[in-house]
Amino acid sequence: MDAIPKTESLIARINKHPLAGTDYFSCIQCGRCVGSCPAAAVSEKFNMRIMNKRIMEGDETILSDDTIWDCFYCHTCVNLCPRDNIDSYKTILILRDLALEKGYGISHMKNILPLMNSYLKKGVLVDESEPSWMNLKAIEEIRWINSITGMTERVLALERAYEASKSKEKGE
Amino acid sequence: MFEQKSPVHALNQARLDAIPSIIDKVFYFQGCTERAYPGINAAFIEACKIMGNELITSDEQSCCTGNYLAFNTAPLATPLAITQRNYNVMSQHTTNCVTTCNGCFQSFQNCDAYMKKGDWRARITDVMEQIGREFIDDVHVFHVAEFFYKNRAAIQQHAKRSLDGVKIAIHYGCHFLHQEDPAVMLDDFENPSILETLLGGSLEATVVDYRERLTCCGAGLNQRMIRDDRTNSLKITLRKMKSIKKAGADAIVVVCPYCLLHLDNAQAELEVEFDEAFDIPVIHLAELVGVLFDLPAEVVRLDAHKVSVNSFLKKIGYQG
Repeated sequence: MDAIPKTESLIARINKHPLAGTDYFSCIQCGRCVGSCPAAAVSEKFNMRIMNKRIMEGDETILSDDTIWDCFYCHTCVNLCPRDNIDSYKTILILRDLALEKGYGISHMKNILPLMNSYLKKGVLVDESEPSWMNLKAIEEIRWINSITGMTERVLALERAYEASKSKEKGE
Repeated sequence: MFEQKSPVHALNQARLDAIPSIIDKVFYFQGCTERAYPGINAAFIEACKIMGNELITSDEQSCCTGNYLAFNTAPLATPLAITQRNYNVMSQHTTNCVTTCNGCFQSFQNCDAYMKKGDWRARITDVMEQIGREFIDDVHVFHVAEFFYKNRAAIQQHAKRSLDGVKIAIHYGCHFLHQEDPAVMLDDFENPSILETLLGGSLEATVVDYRERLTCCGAGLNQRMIRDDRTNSLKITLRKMKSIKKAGADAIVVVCPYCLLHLDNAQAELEVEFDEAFDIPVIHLAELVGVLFDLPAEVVRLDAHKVSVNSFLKKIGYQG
């Protein structure tokens, strides 16, 4: 049996994600994704062309690079790309998932986690009405789905990681 | 200024044919963000009633969920299952659904596309069985922009006033223009025209062209939430608003409550951060049609807006 490599390559981990599908080596580095990109317009470092290149090169530091959190998820680059097997919207989503797994970028969950908590409890993201406008049976069903599909567990894990990162910050 | 030229591209005919007509039975999928602007919901329901369509709603539906994926807080199975559950709720009433939110719209279209891959269909069917529901694949979700575009003759017929002499900047929003599956895109994402035809053609507005017409509102799905300082988000909004101001628009018409929320709230923030005042009213298409149909102020609820809409209402002679 071959020796198991110590760490799986970045591309291999990206390709294991359920939303994988981009063939990074088919990127022709034309930069069309950058020209139309709102994040590139306002963030000095955000450049999807370079990011695809870094993935091709197996650059692990991309996960700790805070720039991956600059994407606006507008989807424009996906439709403008001349290749039909490159989806940078999903690439960013996957990179952020992998980053969180490694403990990077957890601070960006600050404003998102309360919304998710509302969703876990009430079945809606934004709802100031009490009781919720959804009926109780529906809320029960949503809670059940969240639980069996793994979202409840994921949100709780992110909350724990967020709290831990905050107390670590205080301790230092 | 926008001129009604012969279209540079054809609309997606199959998609156009599929959009429900005003006499069809339609389920209204209600979004969570529009609760900040209750007039979107009420005006849509009342305006459709005037056009002879009693929209169906249900308190059994939930949030759309698709965007939780992009929040990085859900595994793929969750939004797929929630979407399926909502399809099941809607299927008990009709096969046609309309939403007034780009986020809801895109999350349904994306989940449809993701469901076709791998063994997701079997896995989600299993989840549905556990909650006692069937897998549904014949319910289709449309956007209010598509629905009103197709039924623009009915809107024109029932409008009590026109937009003649009013300069309108149209903002489509990214998640209406861009879909995972091109088959569900009605318009050309690089040069959309349906709202120009509806507002500029049928309702006689002067639609202004502006440089940043296709640029994101700045909310950037969750970009507004990710960074506390919101600098990147606001920089994009600043670009957009400057360009709209330069075009001399009296109002901005949007088709997404989240874009509305951002453009309406960010104007005060831009004044603080960049010392730029705009005061350009932002109005959702459903609210706009409500106003043109002369629905009472208690229905269109434009008092919920941060940037006063009064200058615009005065221009079109709406008294509420």
